[in-house]
Amino acid sequence: MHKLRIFLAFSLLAIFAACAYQPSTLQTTYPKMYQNSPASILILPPINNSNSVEAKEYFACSLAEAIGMKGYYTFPVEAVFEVMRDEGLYDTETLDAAHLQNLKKYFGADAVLQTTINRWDKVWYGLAGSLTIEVDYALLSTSTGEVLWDIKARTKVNLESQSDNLLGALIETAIKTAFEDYFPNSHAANLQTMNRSLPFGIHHPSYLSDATNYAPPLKEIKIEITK
Amino acid sequence: MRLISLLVILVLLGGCFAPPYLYYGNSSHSYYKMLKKQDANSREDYQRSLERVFYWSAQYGKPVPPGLYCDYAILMLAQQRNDLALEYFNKEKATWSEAQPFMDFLMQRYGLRP
Repeated sequence: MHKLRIFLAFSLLAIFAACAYQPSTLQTTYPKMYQNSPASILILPPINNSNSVEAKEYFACSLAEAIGMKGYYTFPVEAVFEVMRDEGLYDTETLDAAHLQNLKKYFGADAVLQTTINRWDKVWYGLAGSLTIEVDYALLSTSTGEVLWDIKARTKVNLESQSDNLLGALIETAIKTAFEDYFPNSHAANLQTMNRSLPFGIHHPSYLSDATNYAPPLKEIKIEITK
Repeated sequence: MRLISLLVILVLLGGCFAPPYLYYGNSSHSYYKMLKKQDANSREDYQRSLERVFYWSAQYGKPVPPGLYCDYAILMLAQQRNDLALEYFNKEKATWSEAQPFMDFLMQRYGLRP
C-alpha cells in the first residue's frame, strides 16, 4: 500500500512536470517576426540604468555584428548616433508613435532596437571576481509600434585564478578583475543572445528555416563565461 | 572502413558548422578601440580592418556587412577624400537597398552629390 502511494505520487509529479514544461518555438514566441519580418533595424542609443557612464556607447557598438549576422540590414551606428545627437534625439528614452514614424521617415527603418542596460559592473571579492552585464532588448515596428521580439540576457563572467598559492591567487584575481574589458564579453554575449533567440532575417540564406527551433524559456537567456 | 567513418563524421560536422553568412573579421573590435582611444593610430587600424573585410568578403563571395562601407566613407570624409567618400556611400546603397534613404540623406548632409 505504501509503495503504491509513492508510485502514485511520482506519477502525479511526472504528469505535472510534463504540463509545466512545454518548450515553445521561435514562431509561437515571436509570431510577428514571421508574419511581417523587418528587413532593416535601427539600433537606438541604449537606455543606461547601470552605474557606468561608458556602458551606453560601448554596448551599442557591440550590437551591430550580432544583428547583421542574423540577416538584417543594420544602420551604421556611428552615423546614426551623430545625426541623433544633432537632432537632440540621442538621450530620448520614450518612443511614442510620432517618434517611431519619424525614425521610419528619416532613416527608412522597418524596426528599431531599444536596449536597456540594467547592470554593467565588476565585483572582486578575494579569490574570485566577476563581471556582470544585464540587458533587456525590444524590437519595435516603426509602422505599428508593436513589440516584434524581446528578450532579457544576463551575462556573468567568472574571473578566477589558476594559482595554488593563496597570495598569488589573490593578486592574480584582483588584476584579472581590474583589467577585464567589457567589450569582448558584451560582443560575445550579443552574438550568443541573437543566435539563440532572434529569428533569421530576410537576407539570411536560412530565413524562415528556424520557425520550429526552441525559444529561450520565459524569454530569458543566461550566459556564463569562465576565464 | 576508418576512412569512411571519418568522412561521414566530417560531412555531418560540416552540416552543423555552416560557414558564417557574413565576414566581419575583427572590425567590431577595431571600431571599439577607435571609439575608446580616439586617436589617429586607432582610426588607421579601423580603416585597415575595414579594408580587410572588403577584401575577404570579395574572396569569399559574400556581401560586405551592413554599415561598413558607410563607416569607410565617413573615415574618408575626415581625410578630405570626398570622391572616395562618395564612392563608398554609393557602394553601401548598391549592396543594401534598405540603405538608400539614409545614404542619400548623409550625402546631402556632407555636401556630396548623390
